[in-house]
Amino acid sequence: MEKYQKMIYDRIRKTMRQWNEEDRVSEKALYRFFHNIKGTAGTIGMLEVHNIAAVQLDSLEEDSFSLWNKEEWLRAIAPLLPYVDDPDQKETLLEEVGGVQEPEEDTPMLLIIDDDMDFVTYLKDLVESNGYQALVAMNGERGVELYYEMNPRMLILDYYLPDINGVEILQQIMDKAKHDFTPVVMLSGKAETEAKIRSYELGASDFISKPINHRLFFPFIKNRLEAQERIWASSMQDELTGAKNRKFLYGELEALTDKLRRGYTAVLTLILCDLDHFKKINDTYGHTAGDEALRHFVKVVTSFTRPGDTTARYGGEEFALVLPESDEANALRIIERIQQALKEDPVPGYPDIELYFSAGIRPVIKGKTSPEQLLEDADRALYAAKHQGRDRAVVYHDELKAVKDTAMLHVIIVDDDNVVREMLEQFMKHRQEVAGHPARFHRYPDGQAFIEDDWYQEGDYYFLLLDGMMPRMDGLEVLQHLRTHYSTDRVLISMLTARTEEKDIARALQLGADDYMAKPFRVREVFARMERLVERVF
Amino acid sequence: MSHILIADDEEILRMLIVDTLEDLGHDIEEAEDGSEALEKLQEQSFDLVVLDHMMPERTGLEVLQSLPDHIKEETLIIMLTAKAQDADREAALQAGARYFVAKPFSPAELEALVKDVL
Repeated sequence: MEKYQKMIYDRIRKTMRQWNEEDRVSEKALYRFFHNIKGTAGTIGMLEVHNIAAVQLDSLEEDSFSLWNKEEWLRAIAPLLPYVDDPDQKETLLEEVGGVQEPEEDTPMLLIIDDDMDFVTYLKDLVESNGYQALVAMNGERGVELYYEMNPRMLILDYYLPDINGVEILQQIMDKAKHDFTPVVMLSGKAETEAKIRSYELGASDFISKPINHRLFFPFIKNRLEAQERIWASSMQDELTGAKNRKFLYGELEALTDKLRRGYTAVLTLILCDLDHFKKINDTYGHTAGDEALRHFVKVVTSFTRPGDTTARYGGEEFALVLPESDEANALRIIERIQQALKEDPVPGYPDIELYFSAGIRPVIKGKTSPEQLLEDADRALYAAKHQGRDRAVVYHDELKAVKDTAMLHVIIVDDDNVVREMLEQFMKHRQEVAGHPARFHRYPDGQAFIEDDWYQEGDYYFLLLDGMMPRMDGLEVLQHLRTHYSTDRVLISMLTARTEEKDIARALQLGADDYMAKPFRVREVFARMERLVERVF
Repeated sequence: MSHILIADDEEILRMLIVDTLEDLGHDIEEAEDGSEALEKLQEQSFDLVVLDHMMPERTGLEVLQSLPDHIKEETLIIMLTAKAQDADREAALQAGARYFVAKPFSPAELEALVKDVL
């Protein structure tokens, strides 16, 4: 059979080359192609290829007069490629024809907070086909939560929402939005001047009336994001906490490792600190309290550091301390003092908050190293500290090299459509890792089978792809069950829905789905989205 | 040894069938579309035809409908159809097809059928 399988490969390659020469390809030609592939692949034992061709065939019309452009036919053909690419070939087929671009790692993420489902699905599609990723919240509370959790680059906010109005949301988020320079774009169908005035006063960057003009909207988004980038590029400080920012940190580490290499300095210590159970503070006391806690932490830390030291905000609740001319003992002493002070000095205005942190210490004595290496080592030590029970510091040593974030990520697909399960499984089969986590794949034919199974294990992470429409127990019921019984910190849920089931999408988002994807989808896209979400949340 | 015509526009599949039946020791002719199949069927005499339904120029069904009755009587006709084409199947039966194999099929299945009917 191998001979014929090779021929299928040649056949697909030939077809792609031929189509690549043409301006447009008729839907008839696509139909014919998938029809033939389906029949042939099944016969020569390429079951996955057969299944994928069958799925694609379902959405094609034999008698259609439509013409498809390159991007469109590439999208249709792309799911086949992982199964037919010739490992001996230097270039993959996709690269050869100048491929569909893989979504880039740093696709800007936009957050849309709006309860008008028609509009939200429209805008999300539009935004994503223009190269951005969109997250959606159907109400204000969820929107605020997502804003803090996911740190989107831009906020698109409907003024009139079911639970809280735009002004209240602005009051909750503007502190962070100002510090992050997040553009906040207000939308409304019937905005009165008063509403606009209030919004601008609170710090909204723009007010746009619905319906939006999509031709204007993208240059506008691009503009705002570029402005934000320019500010970031010129800033050395984290506005929220007053600590230095990442950019400054890298520069500092660069200079110090260079000094170390050339022998101008003998010792240097990097500490990475991460506040323990920070999400709980946000959840219990609100995001304003969380922000206050971050500021307090920085204030305490800087009261113990010397003039030449650097305190930088490394991530959400993660901070880096760079201590030139300090060794391990010095670092441990400082950490101890900070721990002590945090116990004695409460967060201003929130006496009940108990602030703890874990720390990873990376001392270096002479020799060659790089900022990246130091950060990686400190991060390993920090991970070990978390792993050993938090509220402690761990000094980096070589054995830690083996210990990375080993928390298993379980990717679970619950879908009654066998072909979808098959496609995802085929794709996952070759991946042992997702966003740095070792990953395992599980599949269930319906909600009931999944719920009844013993799938949850403390300490592991879960990414669920949940079909909306299933027999016995549908996706929404499963979602509801999960959100009432399991921690949102550990379980990410993406709903798979038909594009037309807007009511279900709305309901899913209200019930706490993290994301949704419309069928039919590209497997690669599903995984790209998953990776980005996993990276941000876990 | 029988004289067999394989008519399928899908080259890979055609080659697979040719290889399979040649291994049984038969004398094979090929046709790449419906018109070529019809021509060959009218010019030469075959013991058996493996006729794909979905072909350009003429479909398998159209080939059958254009064939004179005496040729259909002396030739065993196996149609290859996709599973969904039930209505076509009925028409093909009317037009003289004797056996059906649904795509995708296993080559062993076709081999067994050919052995059985010849």
